[in-house]
Amino acid sequence: MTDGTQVIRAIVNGQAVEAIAPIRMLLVDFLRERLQLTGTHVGCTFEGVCGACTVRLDGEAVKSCMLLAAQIDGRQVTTVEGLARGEEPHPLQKAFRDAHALQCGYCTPGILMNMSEFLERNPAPSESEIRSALVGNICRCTGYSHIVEAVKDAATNMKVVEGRAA
Amino acid sequence: MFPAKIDSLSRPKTVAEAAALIASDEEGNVLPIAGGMSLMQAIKARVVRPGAIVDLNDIGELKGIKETASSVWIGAMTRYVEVATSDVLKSGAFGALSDAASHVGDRQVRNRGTIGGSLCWNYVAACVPVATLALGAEIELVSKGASGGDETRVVSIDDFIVGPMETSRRPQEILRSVALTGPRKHVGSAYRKWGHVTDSLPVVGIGVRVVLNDDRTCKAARVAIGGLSRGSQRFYEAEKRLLGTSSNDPAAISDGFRAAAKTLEIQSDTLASADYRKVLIEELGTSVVLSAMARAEEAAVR
Repeated sequence: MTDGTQVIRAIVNGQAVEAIAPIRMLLVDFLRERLQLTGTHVGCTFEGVCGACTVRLDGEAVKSCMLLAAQIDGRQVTTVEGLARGEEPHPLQKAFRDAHALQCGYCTPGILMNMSEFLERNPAPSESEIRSALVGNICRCTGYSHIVEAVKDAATNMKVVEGRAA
Repeated sequence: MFPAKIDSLSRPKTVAEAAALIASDEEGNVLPIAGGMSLMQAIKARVVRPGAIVDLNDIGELKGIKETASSVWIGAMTRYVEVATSDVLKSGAFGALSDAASHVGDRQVRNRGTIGGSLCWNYVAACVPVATLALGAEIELVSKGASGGDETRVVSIDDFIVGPMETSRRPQEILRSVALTGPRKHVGSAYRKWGHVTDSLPVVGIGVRVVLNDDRTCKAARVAIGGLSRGSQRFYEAEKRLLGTSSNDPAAISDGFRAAAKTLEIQSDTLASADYRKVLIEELGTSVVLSAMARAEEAAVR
């Protein structure tokens, strides 16, 4: 197609979606404006430095302002809206609530999406590994202490749940 | 900040298909995109306004790390995270590339950004071009030939890197792979950088590859530096001064870097003064050489 638009078919949060979008549309705008999934935030006016727009593309944490929506055609995307299992919050979401790991909450969806992948790759991280993994997410309220604590708690809780299941 | 109008986006599955798409463009209107971690910023800032984009992300043959008896082959679309975690590259001889890839940007960037994209963009302070220069890699470029088939060209990294944000890649060529060759016994390499923020683009980044004699003195060295206004470059004077040094005498190594820094064009800018950069060159240079030597010594035992 050369009229500058494209039909995008993808799986977003487990559901098939189909929408027409300009090729120049960024993935973050597609999610927010076309799909009304406004949990994915825009923090740094699209410079790719704040991490608030982090989503998972085919499982991997990426910044959705650094991709064109047309690039997700045929792929799977998970946003913060797809993190909980129905009414049951993700262990990270519970841990963030319990540890008071958010204040204004603007950066939280991006951090949750990044950390959810991080914990899958590294289920028992040290504090310094957690801090390194958070480099791509800017939070200007908390000073990170409670975020680090919450990620640690979530890792522990996820292991306990896994242990029970096994 | 969002892109100007883009007429089309193609997602070829093979290099041949991608090369044909790029070759069909006569006005420089078509741009290949790799991970997009730099190019998307330029497109959004409208510094670059491609009419059409050829997305290389679906091309399987451009991905992966393969070890042969004589070399390690790395596909251009291999992501930083894979380079950073590869067991093959953790070996002493090629550690510089793994060091560089481990600290590019942040984990979201490392999940998406590619080694080939970084080399082709060749940003003044980028880490991968410096590490690759230190390793003396071979760069394989593909284009659609006049007869219709693929045409392949192999250049050394020294010939590939031309200047800041400039390479010898022709507009219709696609970078296919980076090959790391050479012996591994008694060889070690490392990369280190210093920036204002953790894992940021560095103020100065230095990559080193050393070959040691049996008595652990330096037999040969390649040193590369990034962050200076001339971009990623070989640091020949430091290479010369490293010959004969050893990890037993770190002072000789740092004296060498201090003296060698006088041969470089070092700018003062908002990130750091020239004097501060000289301190960084000496400190980083010494520590990165010691890491490379330690890896080479380990490789000698094995």
